[in-house]
Amino acid sequence: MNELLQIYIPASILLIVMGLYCIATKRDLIKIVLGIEIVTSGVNLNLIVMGLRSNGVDALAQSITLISMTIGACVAAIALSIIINVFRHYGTTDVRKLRRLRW
Amino acid sequence: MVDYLIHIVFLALLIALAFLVIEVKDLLRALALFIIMSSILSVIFYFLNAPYIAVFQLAIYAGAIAVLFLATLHTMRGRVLREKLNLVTILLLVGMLLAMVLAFSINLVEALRTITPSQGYPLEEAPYFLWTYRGFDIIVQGFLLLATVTAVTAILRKKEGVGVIEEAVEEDVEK
Repeated sequence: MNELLQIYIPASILLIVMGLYCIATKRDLIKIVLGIEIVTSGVNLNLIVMGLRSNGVDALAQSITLISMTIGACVAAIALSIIINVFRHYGTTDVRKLRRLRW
Repeated sequence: MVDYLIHIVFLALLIALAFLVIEVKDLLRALALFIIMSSILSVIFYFLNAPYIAVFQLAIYAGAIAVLFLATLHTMRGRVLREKLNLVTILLLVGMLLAMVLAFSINLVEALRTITPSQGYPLEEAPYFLWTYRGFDIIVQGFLLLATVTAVTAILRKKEGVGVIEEAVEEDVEK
């Protein structure tokens, strides 16, 4: 059990760090949303691993992970619709070119 | 021991795929890699005795979110951005990872060994717990999905509203 914790918790933290790196450094808006999804995956993995017991995964951890997945899907949907709107107005998804504050 | 090795192999695959999702330039390939990554994460959840989460991971991440990304890419086909790899950011990432590995190898692994698992709900009672005592959660999730649908509809509307420039109508004089 503890051996599993020792490999899974660093791996989930690694996933979160990689997603944050993607959010911080990439310029394409779609890549940034992919980074957000990677962060959410890392958080889900961390939740499940922290709920690991000797006889399975704690049911409360599973239910919280389900809520987290739903919220991740909603975030992706809203972010992608905002990206489509941005693309309609500006003609690009480059974050460096979104400086104009007019529509 | 073999079981332990399988966990390590799948985690390594997961992290390698996440790195490829971040660094591959073509967005469609990145999306395909993201679908494979979500599937592997689902397999990992199944190995960890959480079959319901595995099913939802497949359905939501490898299914619904991938379709949303595909639809978004379809609307802006051919006009996506291509990026160059920046050396400084890669060095920054490697430094952060090294610092993390050092922190884990020094102190945190010992701290993690002292965790004793408490008695939670066993797997046999998990479906009962998941579907019986979650009425409030499911209501909240329903409202969340409703709010998302409303927000997406409001953002993507084409008719008049705040922030929409109406195009000038040119009348055809000859007819």
